[in-house]
Amino acid sequence: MKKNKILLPFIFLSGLFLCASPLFSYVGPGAGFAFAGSFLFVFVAFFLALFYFITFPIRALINFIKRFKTLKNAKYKRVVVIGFDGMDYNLMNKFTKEGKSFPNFEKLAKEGAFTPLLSTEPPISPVAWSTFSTGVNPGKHNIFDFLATDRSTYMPKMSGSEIIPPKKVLKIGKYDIPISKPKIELMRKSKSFWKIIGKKGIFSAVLRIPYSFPPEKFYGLMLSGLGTPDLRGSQGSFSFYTDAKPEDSEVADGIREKLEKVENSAYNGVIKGPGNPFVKGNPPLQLNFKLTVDKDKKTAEMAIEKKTYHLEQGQTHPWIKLEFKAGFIKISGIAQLVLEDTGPVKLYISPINIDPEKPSMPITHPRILSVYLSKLLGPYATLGMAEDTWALNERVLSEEGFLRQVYDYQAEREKMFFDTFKKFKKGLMVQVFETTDRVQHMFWRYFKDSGSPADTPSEKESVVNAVYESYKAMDDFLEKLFKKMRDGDLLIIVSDHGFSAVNRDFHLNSWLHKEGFLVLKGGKKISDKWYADVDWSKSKAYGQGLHGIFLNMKDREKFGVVGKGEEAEKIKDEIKRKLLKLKDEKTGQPVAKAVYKREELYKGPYVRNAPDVVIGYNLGYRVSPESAVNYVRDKIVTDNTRMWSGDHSFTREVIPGIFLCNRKINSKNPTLADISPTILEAFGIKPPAFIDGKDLQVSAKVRK
Amino acid sequence: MAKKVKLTKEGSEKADEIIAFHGYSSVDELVENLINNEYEKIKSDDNDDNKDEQAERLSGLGYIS
Repeated sequence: MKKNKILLPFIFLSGLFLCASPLFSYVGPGAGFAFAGSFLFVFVAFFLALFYFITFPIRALINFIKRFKTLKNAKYKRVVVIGFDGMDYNLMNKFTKEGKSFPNFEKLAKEGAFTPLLSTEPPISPVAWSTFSTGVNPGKHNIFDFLATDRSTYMPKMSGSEIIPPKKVLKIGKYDIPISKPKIELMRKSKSFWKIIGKKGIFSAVLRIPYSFPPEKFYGLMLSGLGTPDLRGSQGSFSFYTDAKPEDSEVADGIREKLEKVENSAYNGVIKGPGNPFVKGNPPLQLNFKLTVDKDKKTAEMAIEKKTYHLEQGQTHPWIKLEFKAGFIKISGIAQLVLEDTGPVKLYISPINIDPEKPSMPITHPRILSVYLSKLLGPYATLGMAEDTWALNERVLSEEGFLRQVYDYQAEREKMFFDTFKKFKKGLMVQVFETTDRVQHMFWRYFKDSGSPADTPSEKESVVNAVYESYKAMDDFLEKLFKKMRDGDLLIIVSDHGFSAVNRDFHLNSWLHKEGFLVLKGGKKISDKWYADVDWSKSKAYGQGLHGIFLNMKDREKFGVVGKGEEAEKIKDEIKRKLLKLKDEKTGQPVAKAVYKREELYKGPYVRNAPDVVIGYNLGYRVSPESAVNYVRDKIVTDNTRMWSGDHSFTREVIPGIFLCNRKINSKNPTLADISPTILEAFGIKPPAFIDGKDLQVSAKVRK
Repeated sequence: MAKKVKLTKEGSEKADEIIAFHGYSSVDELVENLINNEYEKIKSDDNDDNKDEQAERLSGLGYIS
């Protein structure tokens, strides 16, 4: 009996560790693992598998009949939709006027359609691509910004997905053992066009659409895009190691990881991985490495666990695997290494991406797709915003290093696209390429007329002309695509918004403070991050995300003070009036071109999650990164000296995207919401009544 | 285990109409949204412990970094 008292808990705990899945480790603090690996689960799974196997011919027949019926009415048997994130209509025309040729874009424009495409308000990727996917306004799909607000903490949070930690956790000493499952929920609502056509028996492949994490279940394939986190659960946290003295380094102190000199030219360091799900506070799991540098040869050997990697200065080392151990479970990630310099040593490790071969969480539908692509193409970037703009901003990664990274990922995604495309005889294929967006964000400052106050240190042509080169790369992609297309295919190309220079940062929360809407404790003039010094009992409004202002509403925000109805409306009117009057003292330009109450922009069941006031910024202005992380400063508008010098966080009228099609369209002024119904009509499916967009009436003939 | 909700025939027909009008992806999404809407009026969540975790999740987002 006494023996059993010791033995049973031991068996129980061992069982928990053995059954754990790496997913739970990713989920981070408070994450858990369930009894999902128990015998009951295996038993049920076996019978479900058997049931699916036996009924497969019947289900295949039903799908065949559905597909046959749908395709009989379809105008096109195969539809290809390509997204070039951030491709700007005005810039494309400007390049053409300057004599820069894009033969494949020009071919499309000549044979079919090329027009500006109106984005969403605000014209930013999460909102815009969600409207593209569903054909509805944000009030129906629930994505209003990159960031949403947590009304109980006033903290910003990612708007695209919600991670709900396990409800039940077994606490034993310093260990926290989760015994129920965490949940990851896609916050983008409504029905995507691939889901609607899937119900009609048409198969789709949907690759790297922003805000598709976690992937939807539907009749088709999906690889998640922007919004997919790294292995640490962040939006992309790189590691940087240097032996340079802080005073000799242009890299901020908080960015550097510890690099300990152990011998002449040899250093020890630690790579931080995901949090340990079984230990209170979830301290990061770690891997030790030893870096031996040869300054004469400008090379280094990096030993991690039992493997050694050879690094050459200024070169990117291909993906390496990193396995972190928590108890009996292994959490697998992939990373790239760049030895930026050997004297002083500067080593960059990319954010640790979820390993597609052993995904610790679902990044594809079906789950096996990520493994298949990995076996076929080798490791590939899975992080949503894989191009490391942060590392370039912090001058950890050189401009050349960043561009190498961008085009490495572009190559991976093109391989993925063409491999999938060649297997697709009928149905829908959609993929978004983000190269143009990332390059414009970081290299707009090199345009002579940009007016950017940021550095332009390089004279290399590949850097100076980086934006043009990114457009040219998309033109080259089209050339390859045209060779593989059939005459009867419908091709639609869209971008989610355009681009322009962002030279001035607007400190929204500082302005709200100055105007008395946001009040600080004890008469303070500035506040630390995350509204640390805000007195919520006296504050009427706060800024959140890139475009939003929320009122501090009673019965909604935790310490809300503003009453519904007349009181709230008065404050909104006052904010609108004052913002529209606000001028930048340095330039004399208005900061905002349009300011809306949410009801003026959105309709639908999720409007209550929208900011109460939405700012449509004037060209050249956007919310400062400091304000977005809830600092309150003593300045209202300042120069943007970051390398992040191009943006699209302006009001949508001034920043049109592009629409191209290999057929003519019989409709004017297309918007992003029109894409979904246009594709449904191309397959002969009547768009459901809830869709806000209109069919662009694609012509059936190619104009020669 | 999530709860199942039994709707009357009339309730179910009304739900279908709402779904068709607003574009909800399913009855589940409709019910979930209605519950969240009501819940927000009465909840008193205290997520202060999660602040660091929330901050970590935002880290690396180019727009705010």
